[in-house]
Amino acid sequence: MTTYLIRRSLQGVLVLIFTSALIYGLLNLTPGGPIGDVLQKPYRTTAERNAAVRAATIRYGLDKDIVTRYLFWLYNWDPTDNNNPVYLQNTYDAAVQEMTGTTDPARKGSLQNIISTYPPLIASANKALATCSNLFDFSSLGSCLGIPRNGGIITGNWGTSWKVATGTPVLNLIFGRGAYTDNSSGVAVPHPSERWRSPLANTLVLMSLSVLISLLIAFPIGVYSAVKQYSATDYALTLFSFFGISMPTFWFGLILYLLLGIQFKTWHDQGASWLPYLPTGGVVDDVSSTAQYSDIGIRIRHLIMPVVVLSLSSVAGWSRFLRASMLEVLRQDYVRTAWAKGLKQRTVILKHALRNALIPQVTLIALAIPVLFGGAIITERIFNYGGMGTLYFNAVGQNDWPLMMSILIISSFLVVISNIIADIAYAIVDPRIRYS
Amino acid sequence: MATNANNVNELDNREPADAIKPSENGANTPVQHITGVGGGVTGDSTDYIMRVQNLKKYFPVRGGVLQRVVGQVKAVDGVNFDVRRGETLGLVGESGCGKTTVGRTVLRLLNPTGGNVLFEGRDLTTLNAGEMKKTRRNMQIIFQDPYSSLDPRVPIGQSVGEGLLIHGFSREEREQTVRDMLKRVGLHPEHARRYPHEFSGGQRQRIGIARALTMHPSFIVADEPVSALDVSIQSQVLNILKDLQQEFKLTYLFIAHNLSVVEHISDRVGVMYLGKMAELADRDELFNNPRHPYTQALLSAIPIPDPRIRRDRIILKGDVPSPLNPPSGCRFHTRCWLAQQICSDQEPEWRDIGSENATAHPHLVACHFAEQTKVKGLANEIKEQLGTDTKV
Amino acid sequence: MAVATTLDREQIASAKEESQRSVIWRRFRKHKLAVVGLGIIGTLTLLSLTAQLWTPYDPTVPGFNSGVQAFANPGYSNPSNGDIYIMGTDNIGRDVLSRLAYGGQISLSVGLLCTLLVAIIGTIVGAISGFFGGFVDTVLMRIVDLVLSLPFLPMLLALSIVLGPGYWTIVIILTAFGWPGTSRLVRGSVLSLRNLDFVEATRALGASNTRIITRHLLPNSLAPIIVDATLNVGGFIVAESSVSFLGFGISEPASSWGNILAGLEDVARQAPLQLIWPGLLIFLTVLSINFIGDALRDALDPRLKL
Repeated sequence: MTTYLIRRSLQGVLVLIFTSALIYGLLNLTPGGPIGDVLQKPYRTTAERNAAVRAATIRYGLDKDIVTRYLFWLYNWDPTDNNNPVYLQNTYDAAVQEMTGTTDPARKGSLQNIISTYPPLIASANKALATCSNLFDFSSLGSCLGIPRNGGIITGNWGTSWKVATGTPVLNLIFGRGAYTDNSSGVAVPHPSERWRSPLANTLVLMSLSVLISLLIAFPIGVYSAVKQYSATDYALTLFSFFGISMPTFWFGLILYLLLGIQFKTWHDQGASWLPYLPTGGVVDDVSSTAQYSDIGIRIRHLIMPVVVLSLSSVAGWSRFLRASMLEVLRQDYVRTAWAKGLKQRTVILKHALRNALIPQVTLIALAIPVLFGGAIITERIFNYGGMGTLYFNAVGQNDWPLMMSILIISSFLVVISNIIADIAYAIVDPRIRYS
Repeated sequence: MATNANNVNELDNREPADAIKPSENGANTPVQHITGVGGGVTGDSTDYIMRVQNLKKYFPVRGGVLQRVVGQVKAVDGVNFDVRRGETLGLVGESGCGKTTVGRTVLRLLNPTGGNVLFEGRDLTTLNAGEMKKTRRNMQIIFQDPYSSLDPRVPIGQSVGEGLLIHGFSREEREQTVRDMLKRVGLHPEHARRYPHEFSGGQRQRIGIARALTMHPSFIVADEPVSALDVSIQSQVLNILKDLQQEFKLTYLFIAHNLSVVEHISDRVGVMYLGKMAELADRDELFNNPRHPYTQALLSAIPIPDPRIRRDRIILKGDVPSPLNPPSGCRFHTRCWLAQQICSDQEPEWRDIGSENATAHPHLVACHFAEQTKVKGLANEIKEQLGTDTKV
Repeated sequence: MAVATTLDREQIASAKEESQRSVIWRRFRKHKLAVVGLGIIGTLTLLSLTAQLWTPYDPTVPGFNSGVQAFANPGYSNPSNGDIYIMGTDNIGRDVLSRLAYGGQISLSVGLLCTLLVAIIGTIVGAISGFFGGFVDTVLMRIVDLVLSLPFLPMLLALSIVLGPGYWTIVIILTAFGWPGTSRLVRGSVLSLRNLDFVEATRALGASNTRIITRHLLPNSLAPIIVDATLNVGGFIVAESSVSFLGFGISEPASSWGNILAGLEDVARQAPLQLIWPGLLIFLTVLSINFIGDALRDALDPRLKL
């Protein structure tokens, strides 16, 4: 088992490296790439445009080949670190380039400043670099460059957001800490935690609740359908699960939103004051109120619809799956023996049958986690729920690379981890499985 | 051929080696004559259809963090035997002893890890794909499980005729042969259009036999062909095999774990233990005068259907060791009641100790103490008690 | 003996096949909902394919604008020119009925095309991997693992941006993410079959690998492949409409059931019932496909006698 765990983890790391390379490579195929908006800006002269493009190209290292860029991103990615000679050199080159096309005197001044002050900085940083014998040696590079905390994503530097909240470290956005400027509104957000309260945590809350609710509903349905196979209830439940599996999440979400959020409120306002209605979006009612974030009641009201929407297909799928495996188990000889011994129905079903029927279910649940993460994008988009889905949706919409890459890596990590968990959980619940 | 309804007989009459005459194969490989330890027979002029020399088949076992090869399952580990033209060579042994692997490897359905298989004088292990395909016409296999040996999605006529299709026979020839063959194994030619699930186990086994015979092979590996059948059908299938052997001049390598069946059908019998050949001799010689302790144990274990008779059985101690890590020296020494130091130190030679009957074939055995293991009349005693002195 | 009939293998085979088919159809028919589903799918496909013939308006051109608002409720009749919009118009005044019909062409064809491509690629890869094993298998299955460990929906959105949103982009991306599942399925099936005696027997007869794979292994794996493909159609339709709904799939002015819904979402507060149509079409299509898939699973079950 230990050997298996080690091998499985090594495989996981390998898969993550390959996936990240694949994702990085694919994203780099974008026309215009990360400088898409630099290309689209209006410029007074062609020379100015060329200079700006050239500057951005150098700044983001786009003149390097893709492998170098990937490695740079992996373990040495920080375009704003003053101890990073590559960054300094890039900035300097970009300034020199831009100088030739710039007519704006203010801009000229700041460029001149870079050109005059950077060479000594570059020289000293390069001197530090010269002591690093091997650029591809992950362990020594950070310390010999004097940038131990800025060594690319593998050392925890995930870069800064380009567009969604320019200049804010991506991890701060994901974990909801530190201050930043929201680009879409242009408003400086001093305490983002009050607004976001960690998108990652929000999404995890949404997902865990969804898994919990799905299990609580799916298990009784599955067991009941199997025990009362071919009864009217079984047919009705089967039909329900078919509906659930076939229902497009976004449509179901919109209908709930319109009915429980909008229509109920309309009726409520029109006099049916007994009628409750649900908030149509957000994590809390009032984003400016710090207190609301810790008000469980408010949080739960905002979670009801997203959780229901996210759970629908897993409830349907899991109950159907459990029904099938229960039916399989109920046919086994040891269950028949249990009946023959005269055990109570409850004991036979729960202790002998269900326990064994749950074994394949474990894998299913673990593997559903990445699917739920995908579903969260749609659900959060509909209910404007401040989680990873919304963050990712904004990042993709605004072409915010570091944010996109980071969230993609996190979700790949989630996939790999859930695969490993599925295998391990399977080994734990099923004593017949022996990994070596 | 197509116009001749009796073409089966016509085809029978051709020389078994017909299809792989050098001229037909395009290659003029000289027939290799390898003597010596190969069969333990020297300088005789017997017509061998197959000679197996030091055959090995290992299956790798992977493990550890990097899934390296950490061991080899030595399913077959240096087996030597000859098959004479027209005979039935029985191969017996416990399950897992490698007899099935021998059957698959001599047909090159599995590629051997080492050793040679000379078929009609040519080394099968060196043939390329094209030559192998031609050679396959002359060597066929009959399987144990009549349920998995026929493709459930293909009408049996098509299954039986597939070999002919592969080897480029015309449709008329195929249909004619399929019909004749089905008739020959006791099925209606009209059954050709039916699917395997419409037949019983015994019928399916006969379809399998028909499939093997359509190409008129000279050599057939019968891999436990009756083990999966009801006892009532076993003799029926065995008799068909015997009749066909005479009619088509077939040579059988008959693999089985049931000694009575082997005794019924074989001319010579080989006994395998843990990937090695323990003993090989004429049937009567082996049953009357077993020399390898393992053979003796096997023979003494034949059940006697008479509760009044008491016989001393040789009960082997322990379990069969793992072929992953076989015992040193003689593989049987861990369970042998005669074992001495030499047995675990030195591997016994595969040697001819001579038959009781001077006209018989060599009596080959791999045991250090073969000369001292004579058990007078053991098999006779068994036979008398069983009343199974079946003459062919 | 009188062997009267000449065996015509081809004829017999086709006769037998016919009867096999009729057995499958008989078992399929027992599932009433699947038969209804087949009818629904057939009708929707027919209506979509003939959209050019019967739709009243150009689906891409905004035909209605009252000056105050561009959208119209279902059944709206424009008093100025007498145009009638049975299902109303969307946020910029395009006829919803026409857009749904044309959108059906895209949504259904994306689903079918991706399924076809996935079935072909998945079957080839799975068969090669399962049959040859060893190094080839290791490499192919590692690729499969890799693709399957990419987060599906997030990658879908990102790749759509990278390749530029559009019909073929969606087809390529969905196919790229779809084939590994099928290839695993086919590989598993081939693995379980390849050591069966009938495969050995065929090899002993001198059959080539290609013959063994195409004549014996794949026909025996057909049932799971067909069921998998059927269910894939629904999956791809939902995936396409999700991505289009989020704005990264089929881009305007072309319509798909997903992006029509996105357009109607803008006017949801004024005309909430409008939202029913596109979603209902997706739902009905996928539901029908799931019923059909379930019925096929039963009808093709190899454990039952044919």
